[in-house]
Amino acid sequence: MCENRHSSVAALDPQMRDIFFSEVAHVLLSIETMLQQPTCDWQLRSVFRVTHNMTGAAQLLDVSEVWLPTHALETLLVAMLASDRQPTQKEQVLLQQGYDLVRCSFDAWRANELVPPPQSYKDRVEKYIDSLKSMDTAKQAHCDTEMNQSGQQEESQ
Amino acid sequence: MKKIVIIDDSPSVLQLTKTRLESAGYLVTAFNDPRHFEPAKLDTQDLIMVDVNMPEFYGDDIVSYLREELPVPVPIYLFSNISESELEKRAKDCGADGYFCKTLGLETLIESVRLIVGA
Repeated sequence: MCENRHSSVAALDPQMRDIFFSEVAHVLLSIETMLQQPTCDWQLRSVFRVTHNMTGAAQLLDVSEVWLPTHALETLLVAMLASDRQPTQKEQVLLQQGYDLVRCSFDAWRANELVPPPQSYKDRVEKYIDSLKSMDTAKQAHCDTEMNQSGQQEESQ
Repeated sequence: MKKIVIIDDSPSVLQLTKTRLESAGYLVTAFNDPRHFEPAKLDTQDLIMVDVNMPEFYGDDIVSYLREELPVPVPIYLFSNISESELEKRAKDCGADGYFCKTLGLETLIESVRLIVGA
């Protein structure tokens, strides 16, 4: 039910628009701060929360130009939080690209200009998450093999 | 005037939803922390809307809790941007009366609220 609808800035109620703009400014600042120190776990959680909030606000206002890239960035942050380790260089690059896309998309939408399509970034995030899953599966298979081998050794002793 | 309570950790989502519902003629009380409301005082409400993913609580748990604590039945709806199939399942599992998808926007929300509690 994620319909791809659009709301222009001009169509928004001024009070609603101000609330949304304020939220976006807060989120962009949070991400900028985190990008300067991406290894801090609490910042990652905090940025995930504000990004999630921004997605929700943009969805309520039907601003798909903003919520689609923000949601893609949120998906990356969920995967990073689940990995429970320091962000890799690849993740930092994807974070920076996500931030750039969200900022460009918001600025373009606000100026009523052509908004960059989020699909390419979304594909990169999904591909990266798939690679994490493959690594987890390979790691699990390796652990299972080691456990089986150690079990067999114990039995033979 | 019909009364609605919204529980959501996102200040902007709360503000946007409250502002739009109030402009549609509803009296809205918003909480961004579930610990700040008293279930006993919610029995005069016409509708309670609860976000699903909050930092310290899941909306499902709050709905289950409210179902036990509320002295009278009040319609309780989950309010989230998770996929509709998951939202539907979670609403059913926790005993909510239904759900609202944030992805459908505020205007659809207003239409749905009107159908549930009236104008």
